[in-house]
Amino acid sequence: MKQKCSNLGRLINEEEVGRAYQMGKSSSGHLLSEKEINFLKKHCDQISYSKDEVLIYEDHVPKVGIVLLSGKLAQIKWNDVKLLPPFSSIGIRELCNNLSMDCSVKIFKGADILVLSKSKIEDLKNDQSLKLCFLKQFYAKVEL
Amino acid sequence: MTKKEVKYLKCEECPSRSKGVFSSCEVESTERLNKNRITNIYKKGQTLFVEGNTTHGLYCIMEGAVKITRTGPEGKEVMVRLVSIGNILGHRSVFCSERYSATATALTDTTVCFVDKKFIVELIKKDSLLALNFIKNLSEDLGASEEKQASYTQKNVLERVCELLVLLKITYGEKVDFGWKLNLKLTREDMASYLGIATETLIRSISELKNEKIISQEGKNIIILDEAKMLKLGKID
Repeated sequence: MKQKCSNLGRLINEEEVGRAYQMGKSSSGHLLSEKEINFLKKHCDQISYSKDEVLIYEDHVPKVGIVLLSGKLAQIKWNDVKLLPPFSSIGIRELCNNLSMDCSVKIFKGADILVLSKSKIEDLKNDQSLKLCFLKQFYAKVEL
Repeated sequence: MTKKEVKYLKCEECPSRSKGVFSSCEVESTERLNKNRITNIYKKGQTLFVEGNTTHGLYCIMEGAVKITRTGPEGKEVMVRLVSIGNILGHRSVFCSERYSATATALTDTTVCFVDKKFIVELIKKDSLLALNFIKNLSEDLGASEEKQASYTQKNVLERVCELLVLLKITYGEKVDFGWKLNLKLTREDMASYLGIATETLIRSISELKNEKIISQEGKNIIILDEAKMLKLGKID
């Protein structure tokens, strides 16, 4: 555990994250389409981060689902750092099914995200006015 | 990227239920809480939320302890509050729709439940008992804050150190043969910043209390040997 924590601390160094970004490490988040992003923008809170923060710790169930719009969001496991590309979603399936993550997720100052809380997701599911086929596709993509 | 399904204790089985704001929830509210909350164990040093960032919801401490710190203009971190089992945190930012005004960090391995902002606001609108509990909690917080402010101006350093030790005893004290052992290892820096004094001043006060045989130390744990004397010295009712 000590090593994991020190790795999270080490990531505060922005240059290092920049290097990881340039190396083009791929992410394991789900990439959403522009149509899906526009839909979520209408229904979810858009948040800008003013400070670096570990949003999800390894072994935790996410507090909220995250969709990255711009900026830096990193998945961290041991020494492996993966930067997520814009329009990636992370933690939605885990949030809805009470599943723990096997990596930490850290957001960096200046990043913009859309936040999907558990109750927001429930609302979207229950809203009859929303196009069902579109939602079904979206949920299939994020493995809900 | 997913590991395993996490099973939670039900709210009804929570060891801190009697102490928390959710203690007198209506049955329906408790059922909804069980479905909506997230429970995680934060390891010592992990942060629950960071000052200046946007709030997602509120946290309720099931087990452990959390320190609330604020960063001053010169970057110095000051501990403003200690949060123990049954207490909630993050609620002020939720209700005021403000960003977090402080950072919350686990002092020990701490089990924390989280409920999102939207859910808790809807729950309070429907459950008047819960709303009253929140008002009571906020009033108590305000009272504690006023008391702390008064203590700053009306009490000397030694009296304030005694006050903090008594506060720690109430929440983290374990009865041992020769007194009360404080089961929370706060650093001298944290204690000093909470009291608004220099670390050196705190160390001098602790030495004074040791010389008077009011406290002793076992490793990093403080033991209150003479509670009556401490209450008298701290002018605590």
